[in-house]
Amino acid sequence: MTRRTEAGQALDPREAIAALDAIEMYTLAGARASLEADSKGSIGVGKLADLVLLDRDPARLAPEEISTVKVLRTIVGGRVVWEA
Amino acid sequence: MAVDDSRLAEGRAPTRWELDQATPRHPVVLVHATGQSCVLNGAALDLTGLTTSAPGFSESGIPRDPCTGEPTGFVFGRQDRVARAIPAPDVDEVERGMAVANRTYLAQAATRWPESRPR
Repeated sequence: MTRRTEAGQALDPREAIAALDAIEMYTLAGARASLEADSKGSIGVGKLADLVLLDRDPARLAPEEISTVKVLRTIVGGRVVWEA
Repeated sequence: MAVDDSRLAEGRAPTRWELDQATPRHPVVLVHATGQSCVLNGAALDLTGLTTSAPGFSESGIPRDPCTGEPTGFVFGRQDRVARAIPAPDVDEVERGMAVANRTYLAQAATRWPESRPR
C-alpha cells in the first residue's frame, strides 16, 4: 500500500493498492483461489467464522499508519483463540 | 536463528571468530534471513566435520581465511554436513515450538498458515 522499501524508498508507487483491495485479496480472493469460498473468505451463515477484531479500521487510515493497527482478538472456527 | 545482516550495526553477519568470542563451547548456527547461507562458530564447525583436517575439505568449496586456510564459518547454499550435524528435535520440542508459532501467528491475526517443511 505504501510501496516503500525497508530503507524508505518509494518502489513504483503506481502499483499501490487501497486497503480494502488488499483485504479483499487476503480474504475473498484467497478463498476463491483455493476453491474454498463456500466456507471462508467472507462472513455468512454456515461458514467457518475465522475472524479477527482490530482496534481500528485499516480502510480509514493513511497507508503509513496501517502497520500500527493492533489485533484485539483472533477467532478460529468461531472460537476465540487469542486475545490482546 | 535467522539474521538479516543489513539490519545489523556492522552491516554484515558476524564471522566464526566473533561467534567464538560469544559462545566458545556451544555450537551455534546463524542462518541468513533468506535461508541461503549461514555462519557457524568453531564448535559447530567441529560437529559438521567442516575442518581443515577432514577428508575432502579442500573440495568442499566453503570459504576459508586466505592466510590460515581455516574455514571462516560461512556456508553458502545447500550443505548436507550442516543439516546432519543438527540433532532432530524430539516430540516435546516440536510441540513446544508449534505452540510458540501458533501464538505468534494468532497474535498477528493469522487464522491459517501452511506448513511447508520437507519431510
